[in-house]
Amino acid sequence: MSKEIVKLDDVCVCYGAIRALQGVSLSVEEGAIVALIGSNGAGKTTLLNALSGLVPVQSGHIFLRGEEITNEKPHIIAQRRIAHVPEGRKIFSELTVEENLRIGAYTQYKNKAKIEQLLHMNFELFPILAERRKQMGGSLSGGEQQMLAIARGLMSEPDIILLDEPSLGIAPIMVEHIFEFIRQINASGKTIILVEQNANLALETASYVYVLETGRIVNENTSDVLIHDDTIQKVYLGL
Amino acid sequence: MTMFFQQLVNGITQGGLYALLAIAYSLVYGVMGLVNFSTGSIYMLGAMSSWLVCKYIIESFWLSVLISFGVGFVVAFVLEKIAFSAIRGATRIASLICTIGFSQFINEAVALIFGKATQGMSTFFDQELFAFLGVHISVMQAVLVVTVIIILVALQFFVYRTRIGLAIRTVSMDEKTAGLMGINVNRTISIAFSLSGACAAIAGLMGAVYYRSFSAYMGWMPGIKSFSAAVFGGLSSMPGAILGGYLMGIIENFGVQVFSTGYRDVISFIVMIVFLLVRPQGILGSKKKVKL
Amino acid sequence: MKKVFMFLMVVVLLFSIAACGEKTSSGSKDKIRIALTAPLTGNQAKYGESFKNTVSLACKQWNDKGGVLGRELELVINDSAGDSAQAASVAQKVVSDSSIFAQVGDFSAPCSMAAQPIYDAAKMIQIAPTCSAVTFARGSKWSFQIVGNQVLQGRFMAQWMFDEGVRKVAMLYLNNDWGVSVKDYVGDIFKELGGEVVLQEPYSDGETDFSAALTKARDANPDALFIASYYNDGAAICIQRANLGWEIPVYNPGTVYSPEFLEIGGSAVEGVLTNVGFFPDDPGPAAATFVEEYKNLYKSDPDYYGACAYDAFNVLVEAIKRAGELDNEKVREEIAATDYEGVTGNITFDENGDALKTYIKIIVKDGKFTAYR
Repeated sequence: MSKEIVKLDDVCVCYGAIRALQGVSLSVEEGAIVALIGSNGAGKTTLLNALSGLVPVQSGHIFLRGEEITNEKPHIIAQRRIAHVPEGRKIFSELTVEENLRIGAYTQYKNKAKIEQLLHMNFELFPILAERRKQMGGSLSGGEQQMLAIARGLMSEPDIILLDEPSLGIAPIMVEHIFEFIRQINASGKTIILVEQNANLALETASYVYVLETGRIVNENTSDVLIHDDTIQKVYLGL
Repeated sequence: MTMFFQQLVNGITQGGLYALLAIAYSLVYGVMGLVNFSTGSIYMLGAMSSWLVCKYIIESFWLSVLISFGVGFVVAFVLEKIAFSAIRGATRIASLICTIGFSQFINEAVALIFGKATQGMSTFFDQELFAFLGVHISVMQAVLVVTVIIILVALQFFVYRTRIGLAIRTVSMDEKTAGLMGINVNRTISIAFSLSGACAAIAGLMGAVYYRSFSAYMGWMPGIKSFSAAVFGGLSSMPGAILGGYLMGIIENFGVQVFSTGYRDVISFIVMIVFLLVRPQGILGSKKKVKL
Repeated sequence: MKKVFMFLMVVVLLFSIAACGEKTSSGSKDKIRIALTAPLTGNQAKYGESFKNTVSLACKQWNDKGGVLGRELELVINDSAGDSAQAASVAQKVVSDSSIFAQVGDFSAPCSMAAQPIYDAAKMIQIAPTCSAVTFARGSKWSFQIVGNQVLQGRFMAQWMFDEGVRKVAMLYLNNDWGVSVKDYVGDIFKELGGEVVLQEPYSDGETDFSAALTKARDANPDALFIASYYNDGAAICIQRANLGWEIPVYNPGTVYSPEFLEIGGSAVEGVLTNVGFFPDDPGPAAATFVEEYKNLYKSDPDYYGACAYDAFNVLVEAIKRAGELDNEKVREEIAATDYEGVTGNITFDENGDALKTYIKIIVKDGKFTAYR
């Protein structure tokens, strides 16, 4: 029924002597929300970075819609309709909200009408950003910045969105909102790969979950199954 | 009063050259967080190419502008490809020393080929434009001031109104995230670097024409002074670099009037140091980015 | 990639070294070795080049005649880069090489004087062809100079200006030992004569923009502008004076006497007044041969400073010849007793070791140096 859009096959990433990913294989189906959970330093962010070309892969293969993209430059991967919303949001704090969004649409720079349309769409999705459109990115609250970062990702009209810790450092009330947006975006047909430390939130949101420990996948299943898993409950949900 | 306005005119003319060079520093610093100390040498190469054009091809100012622009662009492009691409990610100090090494290399290579002596340059726009109450402005000065302003405006347009300009600004702010936005970071750096070379070379051409001379070592002083000007104005900000360049030119000229030519560098550096003690990021620079 | 970078750095370094260094050939023991130190790189490289050319020519001429004392002469050429620290370290190298008998150079006063104590301590003869600083030759019994000292030259220039009706002079000078003393001697004598010095403005070596200083000088309203500079700064000052639309007589102590001054300055140096001890357009018999041979060899006109270096070398070798042996005391005495018809005029020395010279007034006219009046 649904087909595989992203596939990792035995991927290894090293930072000097430190092996951050040690033979990770996973597969993501089109239209799914897949979450990666695990403790700090388990390799979740590294996995996203490898996928979007920010860190070099030592061995293994990464496929996008069946085509290999291993060790392509970040901008090439970005042009293939993957949007990476990085950890810490990384918005351009000296630019206005609107300018941030326009940079997000860099790949479609020539198509002015399209950009206006995308801007309109994002302002509808995130009304708070419409209000703050002329404000500097740096003046927004954490939650607003996260929304801006997601909206900026959406400006490139991606099929796949990589979200790295969208709940990190954000007020609980805003976290609710943001995950609501994530579900909405997913509902509009976009595949989402979510890195989340808050396992509860991840299991609630995602359809399928991978559990990483020290660079290896130690468990994987649909969230319905994992939520009842003893180890998961003990280690990640604190029950 | 006459003296005041004449010094102002002198300062603006000289400041224009500094501004062009300061922009060259600022462009590279923006995208690479690197101070390119071979900027002064590219200034000299710009002067050299115009000198060659006028001596061996045709005595044309505008052709010289074109050729200098091309030479600066290509030299910087090649420099970036063979020197800085290879060491991108190496320690900052290694890159810095590499730029100094290249500067030395270029200067000495030119000295070997064309000799170390100062050479004469063709005369352009020799006439006086006007003299008003004893203030003399030559056509050359006017051409220089106007050309510099046109280039600065064109550059502002390029950086703030075009796609590559957007890429340059984005890479300056955050190289990694720029890549995630679909921006080809390496190409952007390469373009900004080449453009910086073109600016420095045009400044060199202007210097050669204004001072009517060329020599292999002519880039050293302007290189150092405009670097200070760029820091003064705010290295990370292009308008800041321009402002710094013009202010440096004007301060120097009035400094000479009040004190003496021998102290000109001392005066401008004192003003700069005192100012930077109060505002380390320069006049228009932003605080957060202090990479060096 | 790191390796590529390392390789590039090494290449760059090697080129820089190759560009800086001049090799010294190791000679056999039976040759008389004489050191020549000059600024072969840096701002004064043009003069260094000229030194090297003329002294090499003189050396070749002696060797063609069979050398001196039956031995061949050999030059050991060193680069001081116009930098006094380097001049001192070159001097150390020269005195520590026992095969070197005497030293010609340096070009500039600061370099010559930085090296002087080292030669003095080693009792090695040092003839600095163009070191006109008054304190130089009297500083050591081993030091001589050929160009004539600044008191004489200063008096000549000051008198000339005063005779032309100049009563108020503005002076622009290079801020080094040479420039400062030119300014002092010309200025003091001009004041003694009854003139007024309305401005004395120093500039640093490497300065390219003089418009501010010139604006300031014009503001002082002088009758004439005196510039104590070398040819490149001199030309730049004249050009920028023209750009400012300032018409004023310009005097220079002789340092601008070089074809490049005319080439760079173009129409802006027209009418510049200067002096020289040797004038290729109107040479004596000794100078005529020198000019001809120089032109044949180097395809260009010799300049005044090169001519001084040529004379310096000849004065030294003539003295060795008269002394009849390589004894530094004896050769020194012979140099002091010199009465030699050089290409820069007749050369005798006063008790300090300063050459007593006569000067020729010249003016730039129709793009050429021409005898004045």
